[in-house]
Amino acid sequence: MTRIGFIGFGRMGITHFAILNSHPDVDVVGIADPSRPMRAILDSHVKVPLFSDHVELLKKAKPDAVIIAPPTRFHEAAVRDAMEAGAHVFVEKPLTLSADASLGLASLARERGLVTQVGFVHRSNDVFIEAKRLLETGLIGETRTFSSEMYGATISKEPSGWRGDAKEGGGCLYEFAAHAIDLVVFMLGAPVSVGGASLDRVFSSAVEDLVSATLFLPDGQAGRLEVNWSDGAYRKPTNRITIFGTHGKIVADPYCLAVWLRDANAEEGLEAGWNRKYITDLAAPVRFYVRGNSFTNQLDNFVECVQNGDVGGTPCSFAEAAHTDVIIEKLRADAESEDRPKPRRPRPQAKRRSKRARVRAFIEKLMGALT
Amino acid sequence: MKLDTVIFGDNQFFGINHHSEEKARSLAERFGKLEAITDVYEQAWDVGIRGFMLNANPRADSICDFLRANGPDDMSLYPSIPYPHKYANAVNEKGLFGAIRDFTQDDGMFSFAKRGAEALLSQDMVPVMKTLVDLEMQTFRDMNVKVLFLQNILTDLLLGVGAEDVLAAFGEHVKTRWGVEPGFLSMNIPMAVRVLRQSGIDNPIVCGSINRAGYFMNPSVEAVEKTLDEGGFRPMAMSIMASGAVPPKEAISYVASLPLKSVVFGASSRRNIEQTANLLWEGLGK
Repeated sequence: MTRIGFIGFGRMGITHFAILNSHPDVDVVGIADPSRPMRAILDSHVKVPLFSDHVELLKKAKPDAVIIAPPTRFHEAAVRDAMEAGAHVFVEKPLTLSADASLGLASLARERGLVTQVGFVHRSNDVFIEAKRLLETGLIGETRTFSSEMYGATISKEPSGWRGDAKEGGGCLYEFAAHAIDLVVFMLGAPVSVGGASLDRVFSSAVEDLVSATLFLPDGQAGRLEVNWSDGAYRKPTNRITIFGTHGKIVADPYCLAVWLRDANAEEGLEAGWNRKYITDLAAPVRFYVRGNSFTNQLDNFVECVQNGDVGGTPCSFAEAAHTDVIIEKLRADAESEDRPKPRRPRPQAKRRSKRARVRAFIEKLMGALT
Repeated sequence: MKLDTVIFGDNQFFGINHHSEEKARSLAERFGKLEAITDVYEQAWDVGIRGFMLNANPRADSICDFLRANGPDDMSLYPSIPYPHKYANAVNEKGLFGAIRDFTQDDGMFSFAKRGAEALLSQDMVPVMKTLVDLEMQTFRDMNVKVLFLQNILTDLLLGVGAEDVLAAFGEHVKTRWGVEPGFLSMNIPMAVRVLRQSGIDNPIVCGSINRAGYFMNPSVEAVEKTLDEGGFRPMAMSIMASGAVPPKEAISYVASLPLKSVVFGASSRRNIEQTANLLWEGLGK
């Protein structure tokens, strides 16, 4: 039995808990969350020891491994404390809010010989895995350019709470672009520099809603990054990566892989022209499903690595995930370069609230105070 | 109560397709106008379909208005609640507690605000669940609701977390407060059946993916088939064509070979609706 503790119990924490609580070889030994109402709810429905902070959980429950999913600003301390207590760590993406902090955690993990994984869940998606496999066979020849996109309707008005605050890990760069950058790192390796970055706003006053930039790979290859978390045309967040090579092209989203080839490839059974593979053909059933096969696969993979002491076996180690945090810092620096016109600010909207909205705000305030 | 053999689903209207983003987008485009959706419902009535599954998404209110005014009298509704993205987006913007506060206060429904507040203060999921059911049922008022389904995201989260009491409370509340049969959508049919029966729900209605491709048949095709053979629940199959991976004839001959009597499917052309419905009636009985 692998003893696992949970640190931070929001939306992702609950998902991860549901997946591992149903794992036959996992014993959940504790949950740490500072929210008293959350602990009270858990207390009445779940039979797991509860802690108000992670240090207490590490000391008393002595987990072999922890799943860390509080708001990103708390990642660094929780991850460091867990590793110093000797626990293997799975942490939600992005690893931390600073490149230095992420690189520091990666080297601490190396020193301690711990299994580490960051929740870049697309690396456990069967379509992206197949795309990477095909790419590595040299199917499309030498790659020359790429584009990584992510669109979604997460924000439709000024975000409140941590999502609207970059210091807390909010904003389109951390929330969305991190996924799109990580897919480039996963498929093609880490970009070494960036250019033409622009961070613009649609609804948010304190964080970016749009990210656009060029990423450069070590061989000089340039590709585009296009990200928008305020695009109402999308029902749910959607990633797409397109990779163009001398012999063909790969276009992959979480559901479908399209491959265009100049010449047929008998070994892979692919025709000249367009070929398609769907998630329905590529995905195998999972032990327990909630939210998507890749969420189960990524955690089962982590547990397996912990059980086997396989330090290099996870889909996205800290060292691998730190590339994205380095790129995010470079994007910010590039977007703030002096010759760049300042991005537009949202026009302040006249605040005319209806009576209902005022009553609602009052109740909300009251409820906020009570809970 | 007899479940309809053929139940017409609504995923196709909302740009939901597990096969391809492109197809999803073109569907969302085609069904942007309510009229395009109601046209398809009229075709389904013509073909003789009387069972309809409808998710409580933001467009369900206007679809239900249309169905109340124009639907055949012998129509049965199989709604599913809640609409996951509505709540997910709210949780994204407001956090878990903010979202609960928000939804229980929407539309100036003071009683819901009060109950939501009480539910929150009780720090118990059961009253929150009951409030959610009552709130979502407003959309389907004055309609012949046969089964009220809990969406798979919630069923499966509660299964995984081990909060069977909340699942049982959903079943109980739906039955006693609304006089409707509770149903459970799940991507983990064997586990759902086992846990629901253990928590006292007799002969539960469980709807999940069952298809020749084995897509979304967790934990394995064999385990799902074994659960079907063992019985003790009322199965309903969905995704029988695995979003297009299995052709209709093959899809239906597979489900017809299994001990199940009820299938949810979606289609958007008269030809496909008619062909699939007739094949289902042929294979499963009318």
